[in-house]
Amino acid sequence: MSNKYYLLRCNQERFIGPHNLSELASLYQNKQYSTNDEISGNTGPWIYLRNRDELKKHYPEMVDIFHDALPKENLISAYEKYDPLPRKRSSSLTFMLVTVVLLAVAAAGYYLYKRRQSDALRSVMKYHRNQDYPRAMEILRADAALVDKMSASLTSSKQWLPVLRTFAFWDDTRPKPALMVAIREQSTIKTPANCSQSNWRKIWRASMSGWEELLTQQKLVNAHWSLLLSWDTLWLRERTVPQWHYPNSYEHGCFLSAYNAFIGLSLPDTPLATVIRERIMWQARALVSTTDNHRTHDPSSANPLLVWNCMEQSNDLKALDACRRLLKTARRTPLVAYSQEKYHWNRLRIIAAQIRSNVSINGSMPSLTSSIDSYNAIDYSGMVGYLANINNQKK
Amino acid sequence: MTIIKMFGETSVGVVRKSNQDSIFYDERAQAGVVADGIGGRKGGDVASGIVIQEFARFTQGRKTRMPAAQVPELYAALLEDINTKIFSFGERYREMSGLGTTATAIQFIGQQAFIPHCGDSRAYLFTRDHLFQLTIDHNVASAIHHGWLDPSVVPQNTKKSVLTRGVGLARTIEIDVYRLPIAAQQIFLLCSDGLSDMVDDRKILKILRKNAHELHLLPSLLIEEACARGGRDNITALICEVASV
Repeated sequence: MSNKYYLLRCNQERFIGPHNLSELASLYQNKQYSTNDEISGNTGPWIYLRNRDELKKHYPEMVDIFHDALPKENLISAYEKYDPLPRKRSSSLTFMLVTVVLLAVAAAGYYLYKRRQSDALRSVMKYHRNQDYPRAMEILRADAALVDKMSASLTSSKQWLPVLRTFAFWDDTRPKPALMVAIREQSTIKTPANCSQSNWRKIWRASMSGWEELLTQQKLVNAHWSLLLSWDTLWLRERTVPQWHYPNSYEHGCFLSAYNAFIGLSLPDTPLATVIRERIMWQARALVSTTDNHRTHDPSSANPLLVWNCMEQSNDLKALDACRRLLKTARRTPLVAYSQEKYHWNRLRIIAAQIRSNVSINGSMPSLTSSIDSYNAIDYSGMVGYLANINNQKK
Repeated sequence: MTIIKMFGETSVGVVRKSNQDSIFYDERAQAGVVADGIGGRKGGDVASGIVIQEFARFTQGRKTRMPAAQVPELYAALLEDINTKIFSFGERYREMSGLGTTATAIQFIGQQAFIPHCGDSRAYLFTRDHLFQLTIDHNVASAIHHGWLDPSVVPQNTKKSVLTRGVGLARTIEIDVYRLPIAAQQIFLLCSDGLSDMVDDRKILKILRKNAHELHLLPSLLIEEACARGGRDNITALICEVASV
């Protein structure tokens, strides 16, 4: 076996390997990579596998592996000169024998395929249960038939629902919109039925005409993008929803798609865009860490969206009150009124956390704390009411 | 449990008067970054310093483990923020206008390494006695090589080393975030172009092969080699070994 190793770079972001030649051949047969990916040997250059000339120049030993995949003009000469033998008429006995053999091979192949599929599904389930999502998703990416099989089973069993939910948002440019709808079921607040990144790109592009209305006129805007910006970050982060593992809810997944779509856009560098960016960046950071203090709020700014960031960052009532004071200079607009509600539930959140921390000291508190033991228990009717209010507005 | 050992060093080199490279690494956070302030421009050290400062704040301020799935977007967001900071710095202080930097970082999460990258600093992987350059240089030479830039549109006097992407050079930024599975005994090398321009990959491989058992010496050995070959630029090397997975 060769002791030369190669590294593969897929989509210019993901590496596979290093592997030796025979391992690469086997991976290629299993469709773990394609000729659109790049390869590099020891201290060698990166070459696209589809670029036969360069491949032959730098890694001639690789060319054989990709015969079938390379364009016809790229086939090596031995194949180009292949001269098929003249056909012979088969006798009926030979024909029957060949048919039987072919059927047997097909049956064996089908059995092996099914068995491999079952093994793959078992691995997916195991990895997903252990929260090793990257590995589970790798398997699903490699075999679309597995996703189809799991999707088809949704009508009779919900067994695969959490896995499909992770898959839909893990790489949401691949799943069909129908899958996005199937995994959605009921959303507690207004969200797009198709929360893919591509859909969110459209939403963000169309949103620019509404930025002025939301941020300058400070009116409530009935649109997915403005609702998303108003979502309470802690509500998004702390909620647990049955059959959702990662993301932890449809809204969480939807936010991730929206965020990914947003950061991929080239937006004008205007004060309005900056406010939107600050808000969504804060939401994204706060979603992954309870202690993220990376961004500090600019106290000179009284834009309600930035005040929301300030409030959500506050871990004590003093800091929270300081955030609210920023609103005093602002006009009494619908957005400011909503910000006052945000103040109240953030106050409740902080008090709840303080009570919880007292439990360890004072044993008489549990009955009270059990009712506000998680963010689920905090009354988010203010937020939901606001969202419902906007939703009911006539467009 | 994944254990990462890290050793890093930066040097002014032989020719330059100041060091505009910056380096940060933290074994506990399993993260590190190399930044190379844009050569010759006033404020290059400020720009690379901002990168280091913000990376340190981002990685060390984190008490919970970053979910692997969100690493690319988090680092993209971080670099976007840093880009805005550096760019506005240049706008605010005219004498520093045009400051910028490269940034090549590494973050280990579970059994994966993530490499956010912008500019022409590099990340290499040394494993099984082989050396692989992981990152694509964001400069004119590389853009032409990949077919992203038509050589006919490049003015004749343009240096091939001119950056096509960097942190703080424009209002918007595009970064690459690579990821790869890790295995025990693998060594990652992050370095500024002061090393990769002076010492070719085969020589780097030779030094790594010979001294892989003395990790703490590797950064200074690599820097010494670059200085011995002229040391025309600042030189920075960060070594990260996957001690166990």
